[in-house]
Amino acid sequence: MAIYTNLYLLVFLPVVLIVYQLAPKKARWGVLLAASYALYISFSKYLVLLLMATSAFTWGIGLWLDKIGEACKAKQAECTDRKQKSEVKKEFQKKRVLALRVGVLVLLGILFYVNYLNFVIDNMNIFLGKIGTQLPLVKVMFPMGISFYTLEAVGYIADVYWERYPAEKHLGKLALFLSFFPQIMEGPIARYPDTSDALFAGEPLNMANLNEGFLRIIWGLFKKMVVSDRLSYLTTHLFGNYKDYHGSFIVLAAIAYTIQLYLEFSGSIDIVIGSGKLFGVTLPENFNQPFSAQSAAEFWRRWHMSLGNWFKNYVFYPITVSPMVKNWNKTARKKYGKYWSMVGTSAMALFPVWVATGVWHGAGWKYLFYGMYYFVILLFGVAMEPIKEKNYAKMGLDPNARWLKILRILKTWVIIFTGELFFNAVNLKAGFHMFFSIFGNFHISSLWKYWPNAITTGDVWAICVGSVIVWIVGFLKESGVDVRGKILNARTPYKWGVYYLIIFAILLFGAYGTGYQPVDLIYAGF
Amino acid sequence: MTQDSRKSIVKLILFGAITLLAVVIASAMMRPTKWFDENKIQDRNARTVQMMEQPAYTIDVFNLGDSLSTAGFSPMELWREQGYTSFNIGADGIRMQEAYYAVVEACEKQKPRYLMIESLVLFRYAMGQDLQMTLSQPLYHRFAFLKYHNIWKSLVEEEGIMVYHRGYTVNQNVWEYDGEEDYLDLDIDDPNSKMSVSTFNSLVFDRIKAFCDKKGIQIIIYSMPSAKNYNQVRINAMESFAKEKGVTYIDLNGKTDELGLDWSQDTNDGGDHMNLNGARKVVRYFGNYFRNNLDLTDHRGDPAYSDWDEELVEYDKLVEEMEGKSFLDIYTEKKDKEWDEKYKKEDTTNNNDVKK
Amino acid sequence: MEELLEILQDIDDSVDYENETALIDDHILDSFGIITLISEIEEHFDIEVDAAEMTPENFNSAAAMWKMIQRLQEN
Repeated sequence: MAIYTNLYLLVFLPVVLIVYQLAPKKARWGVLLAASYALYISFSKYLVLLLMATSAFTWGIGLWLDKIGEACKAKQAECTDRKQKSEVKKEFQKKRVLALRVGVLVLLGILFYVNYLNFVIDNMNIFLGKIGTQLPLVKVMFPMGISFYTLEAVGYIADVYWERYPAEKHLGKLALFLSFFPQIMEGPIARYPDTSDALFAGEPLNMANLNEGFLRIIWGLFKKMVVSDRLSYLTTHLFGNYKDYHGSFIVLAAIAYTIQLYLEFSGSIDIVIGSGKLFGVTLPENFNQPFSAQSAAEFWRRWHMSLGNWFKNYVFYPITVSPMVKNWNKTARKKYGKYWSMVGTSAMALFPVWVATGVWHGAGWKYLFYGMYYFVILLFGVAMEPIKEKNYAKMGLDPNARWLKILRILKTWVIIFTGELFFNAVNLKAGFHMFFSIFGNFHISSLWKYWPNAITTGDVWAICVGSVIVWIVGFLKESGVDVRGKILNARTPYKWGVYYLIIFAILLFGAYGTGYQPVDLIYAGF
Repeated sequence: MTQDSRKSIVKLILFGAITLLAVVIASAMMRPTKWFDENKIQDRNARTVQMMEQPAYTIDVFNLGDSLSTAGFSPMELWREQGYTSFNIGADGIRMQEAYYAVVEACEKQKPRYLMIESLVLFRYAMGQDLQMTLSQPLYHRFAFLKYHNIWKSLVEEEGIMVYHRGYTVNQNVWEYDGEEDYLDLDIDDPNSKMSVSTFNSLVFDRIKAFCDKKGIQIIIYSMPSAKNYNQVRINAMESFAKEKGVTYIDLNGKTDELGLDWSQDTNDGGDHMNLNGARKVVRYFGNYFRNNLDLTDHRGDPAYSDWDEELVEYDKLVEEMEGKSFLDIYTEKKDKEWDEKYKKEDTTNNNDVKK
Repeated sequence: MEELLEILQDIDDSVDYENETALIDDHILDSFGIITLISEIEEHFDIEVDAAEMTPENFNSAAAMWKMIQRLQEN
């Protein structure tokens, strides 16, 4: 039961809301947990046991880390001088590292088994085939949301290890954090303090939250149903028959897919965040007008933010401050100077982040390429930073001039569109084929000459008008206008007027109905 | 309960009530055939809309099922052969829930004697999708606004190219089936359907049957010839299902010799669907079967049914014009021609093998 | 503190470090700025900044950074 279906929106969610409200305050977290597992079972059936086991395991590792910490403190209290104390700490530190390693390796091991083992076997077989032997592929069931809840669990264990907060004693509370039903399909990836208390508190429903959640949900549906689902006809056709197209159609495919992905992902995240808000739970934001970014680095701070933050906190920073990188930095500074040591350090920290970001999306060379693509671009951005500033000064340009900003935004768009072209291509080879075929025989006019009949004039209208509306709202937000707040604070007739406008726009212009296959969430597959 | 929460509940109920009322009013006002040119409605609703315009109580036989049923059965041919009136009320990839409402809606102004059900719909099952359908189909049935919501498209789109003749669209494309001749022995791999009738589908079938019993409509289940969709396992499953439900079952896959079916000429997509050749053979078989076994009236010559004769003339004209093509071929040709006229000048500079 | 402010000015001189309290949250100091910053303060104050310290709370303002530096110096 996906979160954009009427089964979820008209039956599941209202029932959970009513049961939640009627339940006594202390039992409400149990209602949410039961609802979460029920939704999970509807996707992955008995694999809910894996989710439960993962929760219990994560909980256990947390307690283990805490216990070592306590034992360490107890022993330190017996010590008299400082030196002894720090020796005790060292001794226990080893145990803590062991607990951390066990926790992280088991969690990532399961993720590897589910997502990557067959990919590795497949590629090994290419070589093994030459010496005449083959490894069999394993049969794997896909547990919904594993890429998301695994990262949350790893983050939790790492934070407890770093003593950012104490381990959770209550198994149910941690289990609810990892499985909360709106989030399980495609995030956002939360950190434990972000949501756990609100989830567990069992605060009664209130009108302000219901209004905010509801508005968010219908806005998300608008993005997905009016624009994104219609675009998917076009992109499925173009990417599926990529050999029949070139030039302007490939550019169109890249742009259309980027818009589709953005509106579908941000739209469903709106539904997710809205659903959480109904219960008074504020989930982390995932998007912040990514298309106003002026550089690829900024884009990634505005796009799938919860994933970017996770990698920053648990991969990028730990590597930056790891002894190996630090040592290199020290020697390189003396040998090559500040600039090159900085570029080198960035490369060392960025490389693993972008390998991981790439393959997190799936096992496949195109995803690895996608990660490397951004690695190269971001590293180039870092290396150019000081040079750029000098050049602006030399040419007497104000780097904040409006036209320069627009130029930078457009440049970033080109980077994004190209990235998504490879991201959605059938495979890496097809990606290159598509990319290079842009430059042969480029005619804008082929667009209307050879328009595929998979997508009709009506669809084009809905897509264009819908996108413009979304763009206007985004533009206002970017200019500092709190559109949502304005609507929510308006008097009831105006507020309801907006609600009805959105609802009827969806009912009338949304892509739904018999014979229409609802489009699966793209990120739910990762 | 505090006053505040009481006020909140009143507000919630009021909001829901207004939404519902608006949908009800919009649905009551929805008059697809009055507002829009029938030919502009080309989607799934095309057959339903055409059905609305049939003179009341004139159709003898409904043919229900997915695209196998609509591609392999031409009511105009049955009229030519036997003078019986029939109508295809199915739709592509139809599921049982939708099929139920298709019957109910078609019976609003009609009272057929027989309902033929192509059996593939009974094999289709996917739990999540079916749950979803179970919820949405009654909504679409009760609220015409939701069912015909796509109708705004006819305002911006040009007239469609498909012509429906009593729910049948001519397809004369020939694409031979070159697989095993004894396809009934093969396995079928289709993630969206099963090899037996699910309990769920059986329950919906019972509902359709109860409705038909009440209206005095007799059900006949049949399997269209289709090398891609049928094998002995399915046919056996359907035989025992029909027996259990006490309905007649006719399998045409085992009768291809009797039909004179030629797999190199009679299918339009390599053994999946029938083309017009195939449909003619299927209809000839059913026509004879109806005449010998059922009690139907030959309406030919009855002035009340003269519209069928008129439509048959148009139908034959179209068949001749299409010369062995499908509507998709014609659409592509039309587009190519338009493009040639528009861009001729420009293109003389380019060569002919321009890709899109 | 003066020394710290100088290091920060070196990284980006357009920021009012004495009053800014959301250096990380508002992305004023980006990830690469932090890399430079850490190697500078480690060298200047002779401390070891380890992974556990890498939280926004420790880097959001010059005052917070100073507090962290002092704490690490004590250890």
